[in-house]
Amino acid sequence: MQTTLAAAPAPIASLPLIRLAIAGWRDLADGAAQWRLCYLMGSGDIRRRYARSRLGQLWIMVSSTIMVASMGLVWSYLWKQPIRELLPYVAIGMVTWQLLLAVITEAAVAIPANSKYFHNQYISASTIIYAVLYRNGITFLLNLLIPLLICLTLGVGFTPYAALSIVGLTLVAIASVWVAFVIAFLCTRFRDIVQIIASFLQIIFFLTPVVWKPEILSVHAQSVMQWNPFAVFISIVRDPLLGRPVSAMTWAEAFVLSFGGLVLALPFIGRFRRRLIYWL
Amino acid sequence: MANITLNNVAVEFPIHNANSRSLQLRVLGALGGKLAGHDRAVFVRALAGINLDIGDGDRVGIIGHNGAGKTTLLRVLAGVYEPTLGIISSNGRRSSFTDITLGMDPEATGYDNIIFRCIFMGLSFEEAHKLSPSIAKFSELGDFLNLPVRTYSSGMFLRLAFAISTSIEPEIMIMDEMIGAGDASFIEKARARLNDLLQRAKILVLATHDGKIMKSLCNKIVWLHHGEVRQIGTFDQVYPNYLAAGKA
Repeated sequence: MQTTLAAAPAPIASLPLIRLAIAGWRDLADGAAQWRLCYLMGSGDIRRRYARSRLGQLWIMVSSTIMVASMGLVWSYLWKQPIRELLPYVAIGMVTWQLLLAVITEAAVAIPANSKYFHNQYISASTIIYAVLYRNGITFLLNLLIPLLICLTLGVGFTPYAALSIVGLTLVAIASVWVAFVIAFLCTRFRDIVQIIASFLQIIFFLTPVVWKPEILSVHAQSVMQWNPFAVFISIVRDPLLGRPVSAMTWAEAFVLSFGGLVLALPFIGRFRRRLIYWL
Repeated sequence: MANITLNNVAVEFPIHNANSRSLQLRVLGALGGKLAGHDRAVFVRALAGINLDIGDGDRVGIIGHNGAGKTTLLRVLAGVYEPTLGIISSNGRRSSFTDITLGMDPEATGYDNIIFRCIFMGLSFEEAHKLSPSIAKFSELGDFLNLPVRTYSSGMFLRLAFAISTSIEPEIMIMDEMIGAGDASFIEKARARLNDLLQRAKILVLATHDGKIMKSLCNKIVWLHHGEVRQIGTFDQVYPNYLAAGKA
């Protein structure tokens, strides 16, 4: 083995963007073809996390009930708003925020944490990314039962308009794929970014209408708020469920962010998918 | 038809730890901090100029001292590392036996682990379930298979891993040292099963320090030295030179 000083080897840097995008798309498809692995890895993580605890996976729902109920009560008191109005709002918002938070923070460490798989056989990065998304998708759906139960208990009815939440969730899922990829790659290459993201998300939480309503802001602040992507994605999941209107602008942003981001991320994925192993 | 061809393959590892992986240094660099010597990344050249043609029926043995690049070459052949230079092309399903416990979960039962590991090796759930009884029988673990694997002794764990990993017929078999498992009685049985598998694989690539095993199994010896191929040939052509180089 020789240690040498050399310029970075970049044999595929000169490939045109389109071919990189196709390579990126192939990585996404490779992972999808390995759906059994994604499922096993995703469910395995849930199983291991709650292994040997008496309540097992039920802990997901118990802990989210405690969080949602206490948050809802405290904030409705602080904002002096009726519980019946604020609790469902905070509950659904918190559960959705937790989903975004978990996808980002888990994607950041997912690849180094699974390095043994990468070192022993070829495995596409998307396999790991899908496992993270699957795990958090399941957790989210379990968590979502709590706010829905709260709504029913408090007598908050659902209208057919609530079905738009499914469209919202689909957009969240699409955006999650490329965001998780980009974050996973960046965080594997530059390990400091993991910490930067963690701090950043703490600030974002306060700047996003999760435990407070955007109506309390001035009109000017609201127009700034609509450029917060976290606010956009939480809004398209939560607001239809509660019968709150979602502006056309918000929907447009969500579509552009999820699909546009995916298209832009493809060449990035294609460029670095085979480079990843050298960063582990 | 199974084959792997390497054309002028090189692998260089960037060393990221202390310098370029940390943003701190990039930021400090941008701020004008003194970072002489850090602006060019350090690379370790693990392999260089490797040309190799492996076809049906080949039993390739890789020898070389520690750090000669044996494991890196195996990983290139397994598709783990994309060469930083040169071209690799291959046909056939490549099965890596470098970690035969990959995908196993200590918290799950033996039976569950059979399924998990089979999925990791590329089977469907149906195929895995069909194969499960014969694996269970070969492992001789009986009712232990209903218990979580973490309760097993390390010997039992390896026995299960071995039984599963050798239950699927690979086309291209890649191994870092021979795998084996168990106590005296099991070891014979394991050896017979492994030999059978080695016979039926279309291609075998094996890195080992054991000259005897290499002589009995391999028809093509690749001698790696400092990441380059020193010699390729039959065992009798290459091995004496390798030994002589070690003594000198």
